[in-house]
Amino acid sequence: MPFELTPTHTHTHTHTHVALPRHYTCHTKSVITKPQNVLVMRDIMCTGYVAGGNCQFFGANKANQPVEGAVDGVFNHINIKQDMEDRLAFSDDASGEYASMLAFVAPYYEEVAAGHRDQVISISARRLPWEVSAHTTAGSKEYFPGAQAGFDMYKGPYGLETLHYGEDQRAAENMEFISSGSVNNALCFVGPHRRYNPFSANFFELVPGQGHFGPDAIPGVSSAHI
Amino acid sequence: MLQRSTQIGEFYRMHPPPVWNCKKELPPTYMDILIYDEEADKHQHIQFQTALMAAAAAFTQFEGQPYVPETDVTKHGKPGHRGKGGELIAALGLYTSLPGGRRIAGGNGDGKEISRNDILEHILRFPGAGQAAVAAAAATGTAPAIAAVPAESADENRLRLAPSWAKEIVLIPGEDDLEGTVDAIIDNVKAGAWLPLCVVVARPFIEHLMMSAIMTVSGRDTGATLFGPAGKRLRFFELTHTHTHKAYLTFPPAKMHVD
Repeated sequence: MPFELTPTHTHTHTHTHVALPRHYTCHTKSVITKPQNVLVMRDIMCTGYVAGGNCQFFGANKANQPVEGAVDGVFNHINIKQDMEDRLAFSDDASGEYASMLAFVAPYYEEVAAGHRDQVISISARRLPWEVSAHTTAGSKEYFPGAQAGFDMYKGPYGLETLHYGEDQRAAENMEFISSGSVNNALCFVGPHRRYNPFSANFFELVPGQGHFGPDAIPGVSSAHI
Repeated sequence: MLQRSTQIGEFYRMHPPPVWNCKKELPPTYMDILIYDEEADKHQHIQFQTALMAAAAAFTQFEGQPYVPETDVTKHGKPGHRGKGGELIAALGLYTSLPGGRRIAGGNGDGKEISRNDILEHILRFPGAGQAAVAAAAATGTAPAIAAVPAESADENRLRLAPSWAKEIVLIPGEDDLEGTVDAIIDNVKAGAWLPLCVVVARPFIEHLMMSAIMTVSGRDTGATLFGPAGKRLRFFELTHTHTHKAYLTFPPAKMHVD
């Protein structure tokens, strides 16, 4: 905390009125003796949108020529992986337009009918706390779409195992506020979405979000316009 | 308050209505969802076909790249290999076998075309049976595609699934035909056929500038802010002082203080 004293606070041995700027460098440290009196509230207020909240699939905006073996000549895993890297590195400063979405297929009976899928998934190799607990198969990603088999299918093509490369592991382990490396999220909670319901009056039902931004998101709440 | 950039993630499930009379036709958009687009500040219609194509991209195999067979079939109970329509069907849980040794992938079974109804009926009645059969077939060294579910089970409690509107589409046009497989699934959905499908759409990198705060109870009870050592440097005389200060937070009335 450097700062400068004003001349009125200075004195010299010759008693001349010369402005003598002084410089202090002091260090401060807060010592908490009663931690229960302190509440650290991380990320309590959103002040601006950065990226990742649009409805563009990764790989959809690549104007490549049709590729043999790819679906419709548009979606292929190489473009998807490249799009993800572009987004996470913010490599396109000029336009700042990045895609946001990934898609995974999953067996209906495992994902929906069996009802044992959780409301949160981890798309990277990092496991959920309850995925490492005793009741699951050791080391398996039970809650990824399609479980471990699904993760095995997608991790290579989409580079899901490399999402956390370059992270500041020490900062992550200590839950430090500032990290010296990139921090990429891999946890996804159920987000608010509307889907077809044949028994609803308007044939749509809201599936409430169970994540960070509450049960619903409606036009007009965008932080991009703050 | 402190500011940093933070990512969050959301996911959404596309799947058919869990309860439905399969004699009736569903609207062609029954798998679609609406989600919020923060950049456009509006709800966006996400079509099932777009999501399926994006999801199926993981099975793309490019010409000239080495063929990577999935050797550990028994581990996951899945047949096939990357870059094939057959693996996409397996991932969707639709890879199953039909009574009499017929298979849902057309062409190599008993020579008969297998209708969507045949497939749906079997999958409805034997969820997971296909994967178990595939694993068993792999363990015995036989081709997974010809593994059959016991016929006596198939004759029990038949579902009445013979709507006149049903399209007679073979679900898998070919093991190696990824795009054809995707198109066949989309055709079935657009025809209104109830199919046990699920596509999970994820938005994992929603990033905002976020503010954080630290709240404390005021008073000496909480703690103190210590200053020091501090150096004071004079330009002319190169004197250096070292001060150590100790500052205490204000005493009651206790109040919450946001800094």
